Amino acid sequence: MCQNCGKNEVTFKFTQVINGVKKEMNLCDKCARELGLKDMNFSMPISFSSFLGDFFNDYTDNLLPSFMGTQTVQCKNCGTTFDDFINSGEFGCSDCYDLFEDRISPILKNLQGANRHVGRGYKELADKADKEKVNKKEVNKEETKLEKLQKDLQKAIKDERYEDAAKIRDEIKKLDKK
Amino acid sequence: MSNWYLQNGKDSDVVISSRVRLVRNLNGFKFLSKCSKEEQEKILEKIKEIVPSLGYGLKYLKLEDLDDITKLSLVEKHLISPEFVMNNNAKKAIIVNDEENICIMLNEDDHIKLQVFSSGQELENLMNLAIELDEKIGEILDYSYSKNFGYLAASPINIGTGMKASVIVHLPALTYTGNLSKVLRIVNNFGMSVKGLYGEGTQNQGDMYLISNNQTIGVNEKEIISNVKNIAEKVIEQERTARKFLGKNSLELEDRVYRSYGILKFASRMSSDECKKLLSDVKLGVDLGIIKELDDSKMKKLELYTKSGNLQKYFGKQLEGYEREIKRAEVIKQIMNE
Repeated sequence: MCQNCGKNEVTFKFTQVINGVKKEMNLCDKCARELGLKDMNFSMPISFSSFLGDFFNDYTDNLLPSFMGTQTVQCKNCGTTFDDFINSGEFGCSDCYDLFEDRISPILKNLQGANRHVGRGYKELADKADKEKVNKKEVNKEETKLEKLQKDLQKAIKDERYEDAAKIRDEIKKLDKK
Repeated sequence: MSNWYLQNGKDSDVVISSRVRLVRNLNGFKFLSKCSKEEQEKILEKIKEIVPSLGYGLKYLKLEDLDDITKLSLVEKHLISPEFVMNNNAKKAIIVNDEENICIMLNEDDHIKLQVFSSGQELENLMNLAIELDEKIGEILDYSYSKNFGYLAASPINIGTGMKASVIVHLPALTYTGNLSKVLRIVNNFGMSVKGLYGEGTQNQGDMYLISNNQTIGVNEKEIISNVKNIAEKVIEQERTARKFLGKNSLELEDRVYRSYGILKFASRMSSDECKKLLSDVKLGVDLGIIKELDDSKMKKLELYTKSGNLQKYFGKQLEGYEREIKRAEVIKQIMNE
């Protein structure tokens, strides 16, 4: 009979050794659970990233040193950095795939043997995604234009061509407003 | 009509069941780990709204509304994953029909994990059903999709097609004849994952194995299905060869399966682990026509209702460990004597 409640059959034997003193208890299922002895489940935080963390690090350290300088890039939508991905094995949102595309591609090749989707398309959205990409490219063009103007501005100041500098400054202001 | 897991399908002497799974995420929401509880609720609400338009008698159920025994019984039928029940980190729900051949997990690792099931080897039909449902959902809701990476998921191991196809196979003869590890190694070499359904390696009880594809990107849906199907067919062939070999020494085999049958039939107490081992022998005996006292439909019932959660469902009440062992022996007798 169970030592705790004295009612049910013994299904659980608990042995504890503290400072050389052995203590044994014969308990039923219910009491063992109530005394918190039966819950031997210990869920370790093991996921695919626990194994691949080092693998990714090797990747960034040895194979692609150029990554090191850019590791602080953060996804604007969800705040995930590439380090976060290495630690958790998960991205935070779909934008991450765009942002880290260059870095995911080689990893995918290793992980899955391929890095290009060849299965069923999701038509409407695929078109939309393309358009968005085109838009992004235009944005990039604008950025480079801005960069060029800023360089020109600095040069103009250096050369003491202040009239030119004022013109360029106005142009930069216009672009910024966009 | 009875549920798929009580039916017999193609190649059911070896293949227990098939499953096709698609991972999808909704555009405009972050992946689950970055979603607040409110956003998780919003995702559930959005998907809940479209359930009536999917057909198939699908119903939306919140996980928190299900009792523990029901949840366990669903895990035992492989309709939901143990992690889905155990990890209490998100607002979750399932979309399921009465036949239980469709079960969609919401907010597991990704927003949507669409799953379809069948007994026996039915991967092609399952793929068509999965795609049909996927198109219905994708038409109303926006999926996260990129041209290069296909359907996006939180983990890059699931992107591209987002598709996993799997079969559960019963391999007792390969185990007895000591050929199992050879076969499993070859399956691994073909880029497939194979694992014991109830524990790994020598700890695996019941000789059940799950074979599935690893690669989800760089292959199309049809290729995934045909790859898994081809590998499954080879494994089936090997298992049947091993069974033929065992059949040559018929007295030994007969003794083994009938001993297990005897214990199963007459024991007054039956643990879950012992039951799995015995059922594996008995199933082999039935599949080879040695045990004539049982048929396929009784075998399916025995396999289902001896599992802890479904056992408690069968008796309609909660049972503690020791009580369960007594009731398990009881349900075995009831099904055998039907």
